[in-house]
Amino acid sequence: MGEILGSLMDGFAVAATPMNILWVTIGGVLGTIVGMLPGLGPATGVAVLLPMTFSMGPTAALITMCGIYYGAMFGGSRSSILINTPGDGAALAATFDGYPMAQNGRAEAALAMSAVASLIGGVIAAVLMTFIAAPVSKFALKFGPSEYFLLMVMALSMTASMSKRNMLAGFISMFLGLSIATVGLDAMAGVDRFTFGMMELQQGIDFLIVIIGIYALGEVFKSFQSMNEGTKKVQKKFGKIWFTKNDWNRCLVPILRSTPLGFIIGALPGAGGTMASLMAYNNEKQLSKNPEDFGKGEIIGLAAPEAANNAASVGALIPMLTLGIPGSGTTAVMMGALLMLGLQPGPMLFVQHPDVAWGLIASMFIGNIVLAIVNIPLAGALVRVLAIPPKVLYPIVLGLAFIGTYAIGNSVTDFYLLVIFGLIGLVMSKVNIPTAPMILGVIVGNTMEQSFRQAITISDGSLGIFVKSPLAITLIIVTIISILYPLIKEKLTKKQLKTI
Amino acid sequence: MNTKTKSGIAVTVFGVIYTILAYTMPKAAIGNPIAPTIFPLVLGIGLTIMGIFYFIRENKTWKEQVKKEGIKKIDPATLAIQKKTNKLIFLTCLSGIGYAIFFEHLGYIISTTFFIGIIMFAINGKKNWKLNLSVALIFSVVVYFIFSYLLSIPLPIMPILEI
Repeated sequence: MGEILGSLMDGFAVAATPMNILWVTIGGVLGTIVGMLPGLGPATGVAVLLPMTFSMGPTAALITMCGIYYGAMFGGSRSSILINTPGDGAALAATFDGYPMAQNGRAEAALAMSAVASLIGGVIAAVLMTFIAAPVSKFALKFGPSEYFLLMVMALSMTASMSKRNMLAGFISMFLGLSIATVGLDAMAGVDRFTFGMMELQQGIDFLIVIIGIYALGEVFKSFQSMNEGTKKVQKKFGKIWFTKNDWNRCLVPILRSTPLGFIIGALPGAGGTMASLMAYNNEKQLSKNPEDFGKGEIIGLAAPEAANNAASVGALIPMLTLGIPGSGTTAVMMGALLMLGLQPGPMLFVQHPDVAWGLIASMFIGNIVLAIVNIPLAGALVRVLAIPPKVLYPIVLGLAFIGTYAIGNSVTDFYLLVIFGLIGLVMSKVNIPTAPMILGVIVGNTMEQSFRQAITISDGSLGIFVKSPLAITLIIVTIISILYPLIKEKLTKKQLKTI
Repeated sequence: MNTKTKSGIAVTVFGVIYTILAYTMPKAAIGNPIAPTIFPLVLGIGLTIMGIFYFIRENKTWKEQVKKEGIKKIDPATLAIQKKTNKLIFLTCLSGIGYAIFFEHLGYIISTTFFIGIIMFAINGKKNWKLNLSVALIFSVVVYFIFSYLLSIPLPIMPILEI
């Protein structure tokens, strides 16, 4: 216990310098703005802003990235509340009661409560994280190549099978992502794979390009349709951004209930802010004495998912930091950022670079506080961004997407890839094939294959290594359960429906 | 055949091509010669099989839907918006490709101005030319200054003026 607090204090020493706090604030403000923009949202927003941090030192870059990450989380719900357009999946639940509140003239209370609920959720989750991170990473050291491979199979399957009833589409998406990951020079054997003789493809397709292509361009393409259909009005003048004491009394317990829920769901690979916020919403609705008010502007319906979603975004950092497995698109981007700084996320991070790992955790506390401060008084000013008409905003989003891409790879070949992935993202959304499994597949594909080949090399060609350790067997069982459970549940529900 | 069934076919075709490419990949000089091909082969065969299943499932759903409701006619207004949207998407993609081709030759500012300008004109029309040009120019110049001077990330410079 003392050791953990000591490490945390060291982390604060790293993160809490005036310069770093300034960076977190700048990152936070930019992240909030970018997270607000429909078409960008948190994952893409972080991807587009990341190149900015390249010229800073590693610690400052990491801290700024955290600021951007949290800012984007906070910002995603602004557009949900004001224009009924969530910045990303995790902000979807905020539209259910946030937008009706705005329509009832309570936009100020909605914005304030969303910020405070996010703050509480984030801080409590950061506390939980502090105590769990180190022990989990010690446990993670027990993972050998075969366990790692199985862990990634499990994470991907969980993501694919959580795609509601469309598991086949989820797995197709996952396999597509994995095949994208195979493009490039195979490091272990020195063979060019799927590069068609192009030198630019030898380094493979950067997952950030895939994310920006699918989310930024894909979203803009999708929005072209609604843009041609007409524009939405945005409230521009705001009163004092705060809520009543009554609001606070009613929301406190739901927030405290939703936070651990969000944290645990966020820590599961494959589940993230979206699932956490929806579950918290449904939970509170069922526990409420007035469930029929939900959906009409009930403030609890906004506070609960917001707390859960911030707690989940902190929770998602656990598998990322301790195991090197990103739990969501946004954490994947963070992981990419760490890799670019030369830091390998995973159990060794706590051993080799404890200052970075603990500095990151400390910056979570700082980031959440700074952003709550930024979001409440400045909400009125920041939200002006949403008033920019879409017909001007979307070309700007496209411009940012392309320039961010260039800053990442310095290659115009990536521009062609952006266009291709933008079209793929558009088609995938039209036919309801989920994009999350594909993105995760692109990210973990290479590590997964390498772990497999390493394991086979160690076992001299025998597949028995995958059922050797108890850990490996547990992973296999969990994977099988995660695939079968939704299928069985669906069959049981159908049976129940027939008997009614 | 609707978009979903077509996607099923697309996935299957992709799976087949990918598998063939994986099979005909050059063999490795170090270690097991076919090691680099195993993972892709599994993926390719998996995608082909799943694509076929997906196509069969969506085809069945489509046929049942057509039986129940008949082939839906889209009303002219929605069709017009769809056509306009598709044109816009096509134009954006073309501009993106053009952007890629000219980016390093014309420099960041000029090519970005063209890129954003073309899309703005396509969205807002010729009568808003002042808005279109100003957004395109301001964006290009502002981003250029932020990246080059504030963040020290080099961007391609234009030929004559060398900015």
